[in-house]
Amino acid sequence: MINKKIKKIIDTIFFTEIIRGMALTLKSFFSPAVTIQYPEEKRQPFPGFRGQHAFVRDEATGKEKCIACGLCGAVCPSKCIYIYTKEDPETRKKVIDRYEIELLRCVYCALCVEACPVGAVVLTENYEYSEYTRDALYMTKEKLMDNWDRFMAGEKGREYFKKFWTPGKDSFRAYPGQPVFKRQGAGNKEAGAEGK
Amino acid sequence: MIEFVINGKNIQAQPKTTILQAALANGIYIPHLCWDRRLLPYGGCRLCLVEVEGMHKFLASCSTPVKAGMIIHTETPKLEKARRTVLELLLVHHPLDCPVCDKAGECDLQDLAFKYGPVASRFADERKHEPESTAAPLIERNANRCILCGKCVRICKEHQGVGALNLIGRGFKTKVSPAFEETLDCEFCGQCVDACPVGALGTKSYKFRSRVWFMDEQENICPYCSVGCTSVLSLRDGQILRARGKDGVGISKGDLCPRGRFGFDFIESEHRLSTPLLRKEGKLEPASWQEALEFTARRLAEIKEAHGPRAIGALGSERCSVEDNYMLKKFMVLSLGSKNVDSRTRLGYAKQVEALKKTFGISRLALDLDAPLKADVIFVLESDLTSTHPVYGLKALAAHRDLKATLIVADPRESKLSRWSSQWLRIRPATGVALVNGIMSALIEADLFDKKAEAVKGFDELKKTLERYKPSAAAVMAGVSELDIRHAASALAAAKNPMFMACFGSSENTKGEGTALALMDLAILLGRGPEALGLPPEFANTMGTQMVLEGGETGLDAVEMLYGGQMKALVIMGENPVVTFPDTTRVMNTLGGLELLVVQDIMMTATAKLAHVVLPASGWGEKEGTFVGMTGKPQKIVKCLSEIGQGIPDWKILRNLGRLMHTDLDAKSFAGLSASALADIEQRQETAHPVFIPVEQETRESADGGHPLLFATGNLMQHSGSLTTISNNLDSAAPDAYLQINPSDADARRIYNDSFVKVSGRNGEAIYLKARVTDEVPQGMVFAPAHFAHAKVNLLTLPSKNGEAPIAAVKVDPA
Ligand code: SF4
Ligand code: SF4
Ligand code: SF4
Ligand code: SF4
Ligand code: SF4
Ligand code: FES
Repeated sequence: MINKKIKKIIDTIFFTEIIRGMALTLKSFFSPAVTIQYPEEKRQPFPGFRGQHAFVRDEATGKEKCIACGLCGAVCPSKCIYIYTKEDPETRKKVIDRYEIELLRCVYCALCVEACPVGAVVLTENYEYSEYTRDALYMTKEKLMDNWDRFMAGEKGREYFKKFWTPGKDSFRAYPGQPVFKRQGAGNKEAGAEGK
Repeated sequence: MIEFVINGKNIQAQPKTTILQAALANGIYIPHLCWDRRLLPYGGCRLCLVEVEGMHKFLASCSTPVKAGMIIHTETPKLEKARRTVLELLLVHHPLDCPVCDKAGECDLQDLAFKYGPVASRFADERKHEPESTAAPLIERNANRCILCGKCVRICKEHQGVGALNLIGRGFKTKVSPAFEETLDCEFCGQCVDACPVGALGTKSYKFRSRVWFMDEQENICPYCSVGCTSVLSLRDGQILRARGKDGVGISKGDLCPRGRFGFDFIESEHRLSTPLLRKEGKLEPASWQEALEFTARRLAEIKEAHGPRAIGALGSERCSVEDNYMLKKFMVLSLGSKNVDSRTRLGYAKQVEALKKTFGISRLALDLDAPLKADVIFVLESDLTSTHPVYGLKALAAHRDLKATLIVADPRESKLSRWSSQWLRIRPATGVALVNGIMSALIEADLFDKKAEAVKGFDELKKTLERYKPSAAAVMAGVSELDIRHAASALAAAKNPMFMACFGSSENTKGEGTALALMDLAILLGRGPEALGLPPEFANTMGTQMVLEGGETGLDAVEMLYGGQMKALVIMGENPVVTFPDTTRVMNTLGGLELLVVQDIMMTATAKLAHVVLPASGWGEKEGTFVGMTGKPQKIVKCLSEIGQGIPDWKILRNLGRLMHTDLDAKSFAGLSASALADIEQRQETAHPVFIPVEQETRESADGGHPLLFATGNLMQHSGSLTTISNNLDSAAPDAYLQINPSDADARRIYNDSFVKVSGRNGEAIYLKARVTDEVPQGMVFAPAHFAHAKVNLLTLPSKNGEAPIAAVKVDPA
């Protein structure tokens, strides 16, 4: 009890806390910096970072991969994906008429990426897209495909698909017994066994 | 009542109830794919299996009636395993293209697979690779997704009485198709599409346009006929993408006809008006509301000043709501002091109302949609109810087919009803009165009538008239055999609960007021009251319109206004007399000679083209309102779309016009207006006091050497008035007018199927139509649908003068 009082008196008279604080400052002063000089210097995001969206361009056809199923729009918790579809008069296939994402409402949960049965929508590593108007942040199919070309085309995208975006891959878990939409060959082994 | 137990719950049900019905009625869900409330049990999908204690096999609950003391389990591990296996087998050749299948999200198979299904199939291989069948209008079939539940086949045959679809092929190759894999050519009711539990049948206009989870649902009353079915609209971004019937919803409990299911797209037609138009230097030019209404108000006031209010008239519309018509009447009476307000009901429904007033002393019938199901003999007179009132007509079919009621159809034209009938009296066109008189005379002769009728006023006069219609004489007039007449008479006399059905459509020229009177006389003679009459009004709001416009004092009627030549100004709301009224030439002359023609409409019609002012109105779905259909009960229509352009509801146009004319029409809010309009019509309580009104067989024209064929006009199932011709959907199913002509008449004139013919009338007019050579019409009669403006069918038709059938005689030559 007495000791504590004496310690307090000494601390008050000799500013020991300030000295300790200064010591920390001094130490940090000579250690390497953690902040970076944005925008001169750019931060490299960690793999799997969830930035601005892109619409995957199919390497084989040069067109979007999307089959217009609308599952991304269905799963989106902030309901910011708008999909308008039609029948292609020539191929009679279902195609996208308009595919739009209202970025300002997106919460970057990547559920759309997960829901997509064909891996047609992804989140890129791009985080630099501040704009002055809402319109500029309203993504259309063209803008989204442009994003793919800019940020994910080639090896980078392939890498990402391997690591993070493969639909129906092994690490994709459904509760046991739930049928899931999967491509041929991809298998949920556990659940598959249960089905037999 | 039988008592039994399902999942530990004590349940009672009527004998013959199936386990599935009892369970569903008590909130216990048993999966099922091939069962439908409207159809006989089929037992095809085996998903509705249940366990019953004491039975070592599972039972298909959809086809097993309950028995007293049954103890039933619907969810056990064994059943779950069985269902999983059934689903696995159903999925053996299923494409699983849910991501692009329009059914996904409301697919029974998807839901069940999700709930019970196996995770992975043990059958990896072969899938069906049938190409989609896309050749037919409106309906597409994708055989790969079909689970062969047979619902479409059965709904089409059993319920619709059509039988356009079949399961053809065997085994793996089985698929749903019209006979010989021809292109589907049917009624296009779309009932099969709604019934299909999977995505094997779909509608073209909805294909790939949205997913179910992006759409909102809105129930609305069908705007076409007076049955008043509820169609469930799917909306996205303020656009109707499809309409469906939903089991148990509305008067129709889920049934819809082609118009109700596919006709909604008229509202987004490119022919819709978006701004007021004013005639300037002979041409209709866009104008502002202010300009257009001020002009109208000024001109109306001037004409009233110059010629008096009697020179101004108005036509209301059966397409518009009760409120709109109420407002029109009010506007005419209060702002212009004119009582000349009428509508096209004068040409159709009014015939039966006049007859009702004369015979029973009442002015309306409140019909029960299910009444035919309670009848044991149904007599249908010269009406194709399955075309004009499809869902009502189905009840007559069902009464005959399922409940074994005798169906007697008197009609020169072959119809779905005549095809299914117990007795088809193929009378000469427009000889309904002769036939009914003949039947009555046979009843009196054989002393089979109800003795109470002798005391009814007019019995002696009736008897006297009927002397000229002895069955042998009537048989000659109507062109049927005497025996047939006697046969029909004895069937009717033996009936405990006969029903007399007919429809008095404004474009049907084979019946007049006299026909309605004869039918009512027959009912009275058999001791029946108005409850035995099944005479539906024509359109969705025919009854409402008629009641509102006939309320209070009345002036000139529609026929007097359009053919009398006394009018100086007309306000026409939602009507198109140039196309829909008989004798087009005279109508055009009347309209062309007016000092002022004001047309309020949703689209640019042939009548609007003659107008001095055209005011754009909002249509069904764009405004609130009330329809009174055949049940006599008001049904609300809901606003679910935004107005097109500057269109506003008709009642608002009239209110604004009233304001400009400095009259207070007391319509501050829609709710207030609606309440006073409905109060006006709901007050009537009437009791029937029967009186016989004998009638003679008469027609407006009869055939002779120069004009040897009788020209009947009427309705198609796919169209309703001239409104539906702007629906792209319905237009694709029934795109054009045609002339039905009997093969023998065609041969005699060297007319071939699909060749053009010239039809000339006694009035010197002629029209050109494509011939359809068919024995659906008898020799001596030709028939053309009256919906199509470009066919100008009404150039040859005539209004009825004294209640006779207004049929016309024509000459047909190759064009
Ligand atoms: S989930 Fe994928 S395929 Fe489906 S609509 Fe979205 S992006 Fe297209
Ligand atoms: S019918 Fe049902 S299960 Fe089959 S593809 Fe369509 S949504 Fe999927
Ligand atoms: S649309 Fe109607 S008539 Fe045509 S096949 Fe389907 S159920 Fe039969
Ligand atoms: S088309 Fe549909 S309703 Fe018809 S059998 Fe196939 S699954 Fe059943
Ligand atoms: S037109 Fe008549 S029968 Fe057909 S859906 Fe509409 S209300 Fe029902
Ligand atoms: S519903 Fe019972 S077998 Fe299909």
